[in-house]
Amino acid sequence: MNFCKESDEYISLYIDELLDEEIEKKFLKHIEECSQCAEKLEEAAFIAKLCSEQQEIPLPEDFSSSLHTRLLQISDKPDKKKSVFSLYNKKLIASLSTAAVLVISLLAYNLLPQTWSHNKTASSADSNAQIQASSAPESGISAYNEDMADSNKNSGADSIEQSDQSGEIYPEEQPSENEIKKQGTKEEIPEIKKEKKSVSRDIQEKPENRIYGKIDGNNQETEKNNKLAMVPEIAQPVTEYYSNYAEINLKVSVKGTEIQILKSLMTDIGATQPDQAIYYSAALVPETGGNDKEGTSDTGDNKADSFAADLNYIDYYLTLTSYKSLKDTAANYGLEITAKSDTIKKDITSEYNYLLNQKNEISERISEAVKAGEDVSALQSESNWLTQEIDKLISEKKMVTVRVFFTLN
Amino acid sequence: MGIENENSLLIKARQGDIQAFEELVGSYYTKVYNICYRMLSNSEDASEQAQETFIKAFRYIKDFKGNCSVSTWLYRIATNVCLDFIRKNKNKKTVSLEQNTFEDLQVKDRLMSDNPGPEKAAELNAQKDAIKNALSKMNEKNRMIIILRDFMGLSYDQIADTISAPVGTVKSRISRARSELRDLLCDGKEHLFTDYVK
Repeated sequence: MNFCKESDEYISLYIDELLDEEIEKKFLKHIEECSQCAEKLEEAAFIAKLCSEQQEIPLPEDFSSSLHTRLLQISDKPDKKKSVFSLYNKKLIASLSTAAVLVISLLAYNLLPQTWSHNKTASSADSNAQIQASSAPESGISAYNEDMADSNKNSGADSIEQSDQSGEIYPEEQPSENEIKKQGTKEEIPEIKKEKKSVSRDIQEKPENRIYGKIDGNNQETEKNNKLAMVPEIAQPVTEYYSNYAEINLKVSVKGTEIQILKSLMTDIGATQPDQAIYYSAALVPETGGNDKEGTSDTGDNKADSFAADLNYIDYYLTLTSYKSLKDTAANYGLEITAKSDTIKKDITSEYNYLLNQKNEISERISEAVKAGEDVSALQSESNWLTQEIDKLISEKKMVTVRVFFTLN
Repeated sequence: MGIENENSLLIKARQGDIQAFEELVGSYYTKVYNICYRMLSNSEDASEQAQETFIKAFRYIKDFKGNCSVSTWLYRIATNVCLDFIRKNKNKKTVSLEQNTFEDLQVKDRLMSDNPGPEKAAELNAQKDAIKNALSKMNEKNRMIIILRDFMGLSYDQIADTISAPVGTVKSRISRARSELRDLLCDGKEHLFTDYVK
């Protein structure tokens, strides 16, 4: 029990009367002997008291009335559903038109003889680079990084990094939402065929021209060129959005000092505790059972009298880049990390589409309100918020929620 | 508010009854406003984001499953709204200190009416400004934790529910936040705090 080293934690728990009786006695004895900790305690206690004594800021006088007006503005109108439906139809027509243009462009491209050479340069399969996207296309969840589990069995070495070898699994530079990224299997094609009725036969007959080819090679550049050459950059609807989730094990001693080191490590690499969005709180983390109930942890299991090792797990939110090198970085901190599960992608395209529909609806309402000379500030504010949420969803691809489980040495 | 009454208001609010919604959440207007004010250091932004909190609560009340209290749910929305607002406006550097705001005047009025004496009034105002200034400089997540714990007086369990984190995480975050606040207040401000502390 190093009171000096962990003085901030002990002081904080002491101020909130959360220390065990025995620990408190030892702590107070240490305070008598250590002037530095004593000074810290005095300052911390004073500041906490000062904050608690700050007067409540009174509510602005017009708050209630203003809020009431805004609530009235956004409350449901009778023709709202109908307009959403008609808007959806318009979007569907726009999507079909876009898809038709896409297919026509494909045909035009394929008629050019010099382009055939690009289609035949895909290199042979590399088992590490194959994406097992066919495993669960319907469920919207695709499992990646089977190599991680395999290499754990072998040596445990580089299990997190192997995913990078293909270059396909965690693309560093995410293409814009107008570019087709996900490379699936044959199962993807029927969905596209629905939107390209007139040319589906061509797609079948010319496997090289598949929009979604198998990831059978590690020639990322060629694959990318194939994609870009074959598919002009056109917006929706084939772009998909997904969040990433992974589980890892951290070996800890009985004292649990590794947990504090882990926290420092995570702070240093810029990882954060995930903020569970209330609107789609389960959307970003797939339900794997156990402790994750829509993002709220089972606090009954995690209550601790000390801040050390009663935790089952901790969640962190970090970039895929950081995650790729996490094992090595952790080793530099003296921590041993192994992959517990494959990295799971959860399809959040439906949430994206929902927000996009909402935003389009709001944009229409703003246009109507402007024409009618009405105040649009509330609608604009809502539109801005929707834009933010959409941006957040789009950026989910570059991030990963990592659940760190603790296993005793 | 009794649980049965709250449940009945919740049912009506889910059906779009604005009056029921206002009755359900009205008692939390000031608390939510205070969270926003402490987070954003600006009465205009605080009012806007506090309203935004209740707008969102009304819009998504159907998603509220009742697995936590209404207050926790509202505080959760408020903290997320404020964090989003801060993130969005991170590049816009605004001066957060306000001189003679409505709240300042109100506090001054109360101090005058309680006759604390000019020295005590000056001391209190200086402390208030120092805390506000320090809060505005804190990491926003640390600031949020301090507000929930030391200003709002929420328990560790309530904070854990609000930010959806284990209690162990809350403990370490509170200690880090208090350490940051102490560093901001005590370093380089001997004339302000060490006189009071020592």
